[in-house]
Amino acid sequence: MNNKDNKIRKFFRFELYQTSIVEQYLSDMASKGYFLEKISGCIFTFTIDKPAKVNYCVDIFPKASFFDYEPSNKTKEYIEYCERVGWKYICFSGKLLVFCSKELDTLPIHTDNQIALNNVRKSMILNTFLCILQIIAAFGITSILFINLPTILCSYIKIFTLLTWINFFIVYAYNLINYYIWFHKCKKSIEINNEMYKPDYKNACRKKTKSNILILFLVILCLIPLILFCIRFISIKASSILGVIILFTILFHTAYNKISSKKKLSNKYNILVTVLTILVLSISIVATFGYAIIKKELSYTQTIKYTDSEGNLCYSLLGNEKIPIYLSDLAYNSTGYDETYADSDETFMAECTQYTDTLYKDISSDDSVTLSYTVYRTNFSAINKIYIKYQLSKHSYDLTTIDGITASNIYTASDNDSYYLLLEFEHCVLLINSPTKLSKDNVQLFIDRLNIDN
Amino acid sequence: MPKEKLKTLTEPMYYILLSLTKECCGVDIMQRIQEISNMRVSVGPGTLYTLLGKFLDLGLIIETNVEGRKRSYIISDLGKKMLVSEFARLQSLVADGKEYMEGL
Repeated sequence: MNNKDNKIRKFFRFELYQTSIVEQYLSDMASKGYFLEKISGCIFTFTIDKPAKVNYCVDIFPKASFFDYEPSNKTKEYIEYCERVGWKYICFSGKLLVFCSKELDTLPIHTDNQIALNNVRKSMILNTFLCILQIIAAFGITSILFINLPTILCSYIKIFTLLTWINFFIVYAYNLINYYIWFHKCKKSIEINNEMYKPDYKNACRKKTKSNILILFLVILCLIPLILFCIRFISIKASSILGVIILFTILFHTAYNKISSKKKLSNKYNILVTVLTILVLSISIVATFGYAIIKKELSYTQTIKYTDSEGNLCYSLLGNEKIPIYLSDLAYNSTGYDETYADSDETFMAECTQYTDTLYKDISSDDSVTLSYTVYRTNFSAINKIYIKYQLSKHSYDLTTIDGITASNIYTASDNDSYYLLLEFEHCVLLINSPTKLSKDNVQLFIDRLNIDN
Repeated sequence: MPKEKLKTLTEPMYYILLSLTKECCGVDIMQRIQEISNMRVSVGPGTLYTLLGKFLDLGLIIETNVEGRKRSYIISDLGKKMLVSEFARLQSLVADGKEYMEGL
């Protein structure tokens, strides 16, 4: 049999400090006839041979670097120390060195567990630091995004971003907590009986399965907004085809893996199938989302033609939804508009639509009058409250009333050339930024044209 | 950060320093410790390597020879002082216990 045919790759996710679990996993694999050849990240390459009882020692060598592509001189020196007492060096991965021995009574590499624990602690400093950095980044970005929650809930892409950062936060915090629990159990175990704490392998595997399921759940949770985005902008039929492709590709790969490990198929076929699976998944996902984004852009924009104040013919892009109110409706002699903007994916949670209509007072200067209005529609009044709170923190609003307008609350504010009017309805919030103070009739016009039904 | 001074020696530390009263190659120390202790004490390679690094940092041992990756060490004057004081401490532990242990 060809050397390459005699190999198999397995995915085994582990943290740097979980060396005892990796040792037990490797011994378990050896008893099934799979003998470790090398580790690349979480991919373990095994050579297939007759099952045997082998002891493994997965050791952390703090002087090794995560960036070493081959053992440094110091690592080689350390390996010689270990080989002197009967450990056979197999491979290294970052700071991990893997040794094996078929003898049961080989002298342990670490006879002083306090030193072994210190080595783990030293090697985990960088991991812990990166973990804390990720948590701070995830927390910071999530907090920034949360400031204007209704705006986020208006867009599937923004919901996806928010969920991704929350998931980062959960996963890194979970890893950090688990490490500190393990560290304190070890410390206690060494203090009491001078032995390193070794979690039960079966329990650890069960816990690992649970955490893998949690990660898978979080990934799926993240993908839901993207799938809904596709359904919204392509069609249910096209999205379903994508879903079926993804499902079949994953099922095919899982089935192949099972057959491959049972029949011990050649490694070159394993690589080919994995590459093909990744290719099919990446191409179908990228193509679908790309198509959805293009469709979204096309559905929101169209070219319009207008004449500016000097009589020149101009072209501009315009959201294809009909704009309900122009500056001319507020008694400005508007001859054209040069900007419209609609930022919404129209999610299941809320709708956010914003139109900006600008009219230059003087074509040679940058002075302009602007009308913009934002409408939030949602069935969740709590989200409205959050948005109102956010808006109230931006400007010094005064609570007011307008005769004949039946909003729950009306707030007004002004700065420089802008007047702000914030109207809170039961299922809707309307924010108008206008160049002049709006009369009751103007406000009523907004309510009528925007179909705000209290 | 100032180096943390050792107040007492642990069993592996004590035997490593004992074995280095004569110049010895790093990897041979494990065998020498077993000879000195009549196979009672074994120091694992991981523990030995870490402690040798620590002793070098603290100046308790000196590197005498480097041949390829093979390094030889010997105890320094400071190490000798430390070893003697540890020996005296252990002797006083035994002496203190002698009177009480006879009756047990």
